Amino acid sequence: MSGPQIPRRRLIAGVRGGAGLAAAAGAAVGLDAGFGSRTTAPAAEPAGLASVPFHGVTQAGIVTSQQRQGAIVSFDSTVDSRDDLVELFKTITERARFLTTGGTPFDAGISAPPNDSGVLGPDVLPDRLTVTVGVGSSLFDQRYGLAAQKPARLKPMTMFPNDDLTPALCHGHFRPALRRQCRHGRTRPA
Amino acid sequence: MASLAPFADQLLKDTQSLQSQFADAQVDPRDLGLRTHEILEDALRFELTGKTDEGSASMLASAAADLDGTRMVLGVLRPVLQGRYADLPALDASLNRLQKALDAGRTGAAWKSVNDLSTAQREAVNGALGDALERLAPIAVICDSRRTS
Repeated sequence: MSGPQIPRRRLIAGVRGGAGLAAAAGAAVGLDAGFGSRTTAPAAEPAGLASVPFHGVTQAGIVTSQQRQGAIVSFDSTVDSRDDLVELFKTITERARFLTTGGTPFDAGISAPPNDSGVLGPDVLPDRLTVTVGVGSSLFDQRYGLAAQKPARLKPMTMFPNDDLTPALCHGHFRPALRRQCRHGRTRPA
Repeated sequence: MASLAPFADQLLKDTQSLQSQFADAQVDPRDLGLRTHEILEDALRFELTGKTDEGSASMLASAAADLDGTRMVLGVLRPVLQGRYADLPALDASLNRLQKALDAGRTGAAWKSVNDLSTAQREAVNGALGDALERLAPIAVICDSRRTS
């Protein structure tokens, strides 16, 4: 494997540290820099056109081999109804499918913000991007009628010894939290 | 404190005079389309960020007034937008949602400071305002004058 070896435990700690930061969308965590654990130069990687299939038995990014960079963000859900929640997941799915497949961004017209964010450029390359979405236990409450469907062993993430976390900023204890994990294998320009 | 009294008196006088003159205010109709989203845009940029609060704890009240103003302009433009803006019902629902989120910080005539809202309440306000602005954005373009030849 060419990427850094990140101890799983530390990666999980990173997830928890990011939990609850509703405004942290897009804050990229460069694992190379953040963990400084890379000891070997990266081997040649496939060109940016390579993609990880978006559709499959599980979400991409779960059993996919470890990628070089990743960003992990979490959100609190503010939608009022189950229908809105469904719409939200459809929107996330649509966006994730596009970003992991690549192509030219849809032009939403002159009154909408440009879909080309200026970061990814006019042609989005799949670049082996995976987007993995998880939901926190607090999503399974009365608000969306999901209480009965809560997986038996799903619970708020455990605090580890020596963690110094502000509970109000952690995984929605009282609020639904959507966790979105991106592992973004961005290749270097040739 | 007493030295501030003349300023408070002047402010009250000016506000009352603005209220009585407002009905006669002239607004260029071509401006209305643009103003529809700009009012709440100011709520987002200046009020709910606390930039113009100056310790007055009046930002939720200001944002609610901005919402009133937006509805007023939207009321004038509604005949133009009917049939031209398919998302109009969704916009109305979105504005109602924002109203509900803002009202959560209100008890009678008293408004909470934005800082005193719980995280969930603050997120509800920010989320509803963002949604409303996204749905208001196309109106400026729809109402813009354009060549037909």
